[in-house]
Amino acid sequence: MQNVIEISDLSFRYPQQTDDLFAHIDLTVGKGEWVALIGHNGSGKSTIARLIDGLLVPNKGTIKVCGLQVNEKNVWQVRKKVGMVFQNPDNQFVGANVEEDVAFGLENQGIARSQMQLRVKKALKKVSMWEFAKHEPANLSGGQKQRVALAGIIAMKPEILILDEATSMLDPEGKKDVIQIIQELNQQENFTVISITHDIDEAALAGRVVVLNDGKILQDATPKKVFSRGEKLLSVGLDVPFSEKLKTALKKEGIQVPENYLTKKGMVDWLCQYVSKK
Amino acid sequence: MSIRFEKVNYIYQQATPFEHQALYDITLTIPTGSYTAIVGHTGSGKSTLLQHLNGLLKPVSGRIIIGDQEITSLTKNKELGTLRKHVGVVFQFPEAQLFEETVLKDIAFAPKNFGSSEQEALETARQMAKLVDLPEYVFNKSPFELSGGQMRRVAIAGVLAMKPEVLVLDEPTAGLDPKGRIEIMDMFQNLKIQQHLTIILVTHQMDDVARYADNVIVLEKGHLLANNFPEKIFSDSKWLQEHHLALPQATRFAKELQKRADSFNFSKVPLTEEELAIQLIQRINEVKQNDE
Repeated sequence: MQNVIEISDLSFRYPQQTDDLFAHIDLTVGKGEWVALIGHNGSGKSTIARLIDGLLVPNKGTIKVCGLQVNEKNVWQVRKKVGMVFQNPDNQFVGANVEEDVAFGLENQGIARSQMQLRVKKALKKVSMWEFAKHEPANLSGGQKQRVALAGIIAMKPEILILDEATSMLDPEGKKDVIQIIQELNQQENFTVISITHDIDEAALAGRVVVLNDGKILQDATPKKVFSRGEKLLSVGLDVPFSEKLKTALKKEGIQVPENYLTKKGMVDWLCQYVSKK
Repeated sequence: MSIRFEKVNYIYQQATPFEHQALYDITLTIPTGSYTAIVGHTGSGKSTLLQHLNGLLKPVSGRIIIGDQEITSLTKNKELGTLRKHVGVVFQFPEAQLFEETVLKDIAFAPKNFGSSEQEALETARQMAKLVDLPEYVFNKSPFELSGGQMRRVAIAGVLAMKPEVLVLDEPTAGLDPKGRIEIMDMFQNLKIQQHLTIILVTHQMDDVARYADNVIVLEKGHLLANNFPEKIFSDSKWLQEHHLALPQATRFAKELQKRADSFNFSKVPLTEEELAIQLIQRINEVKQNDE
């Protein structure tokens, strides 16, 4: 697998800080991977995303995006490879209507009008928002706005999609819609996805979960491995999966529960077995 | 302090081409000392309703009775001063409203505005800072040096410093990590018990509704859809699905379990993992006894 992100020996601190926010971090992400980056508020997750996109400059170490080192010379090329969706849907809408918003990035790159119309239409269809092309942002829900933000990025044809808590302000339905589109983009179009999240269901979809804590990478493993931390997940910024919460509640009532992590389905299976064995 | 809405209608930009009705004939009661959750989708009228609770908006028709004060379309703004002391509102991302040099000064702003002396106000601020579990070493720091969770506590203490009887919370945990969320929600629960507050919570988190609320108001497109106990609201999953509302995790899990094995039927809808665990153990014991 070809690496699309290579971070080596990365250290960073904000000007007003006396200590490094993180130090000597190494991380690679392969093409087509889905990596969830987790950590508590202030652990530096969003900072890493901004460093990858060249919005911040590291104190030490290097970052390569699709083989290009992120520096002053390459930054514009790097940004063509990376699309970012942020938390607040209202802060990202720049166009007067949906169509214009999606076209904004393409206009900036000087894409020919006929080409542009085609790409906008295709991108909006991809996120099921084409019928809203002429709508103003005021009439859209948060989930719809985030889908438009995604379309704006798809139209630019980047390699990597970074979602910085992109679903955290959405209601449950908006969240489901956005996550489903991201899944399609990852599986069908081979987009590399980095999702920064506190949401256990979103993290569960990733192939790898990277846990950032106290300025270093605490764990880099499958969701199953990371989730087996159980109640201790809270201290690294993730909610405890429901199956683990139920296990804790059952244990308190004196029931012996399996030690390893169980998905919700796994937990249903186990309970059914437990009852039939009695 | 109980709150009653009687046939409340609200229309934005009335008598203009942009006229838009946000509330239709809302009649409901929020009992004193209750923990009431307001749920509904974007555009359901949650925020509009919330702004009626301390007179930021006044009904176009109908009336609202809060304690012994009546609010109608004719109520003058200067009559609302005392109401705003009784009903404290914590808006979304309240830390954006911090502005003072130190944490204590920021919290003391409201009591000073309502006529306390500098000394009294700072004393109140100190008490409130302790109430929201802020550590003493941050009291004289700039609020802007604190973590997101701590900044939010400062803002909440600022609202509590008015000693309100009703505390209105508009998605108070948005943007916090799960640990911060649990800490803040537990803090409100303690405040309710210790200070005998009436709490009104606007949220999308059905797990929080299930865990904390004892009264649920469901809004849809400006209409009141339901006002009932959480056990009642969450017992009709078909109705919830029709209105695109989620079930709490424990309730959903119980349903999945039931689908798989008939032996799992729940006499009462479990709302939290603790309730679910207790009912599961009862079932397990029953099965055991039948076998013996």
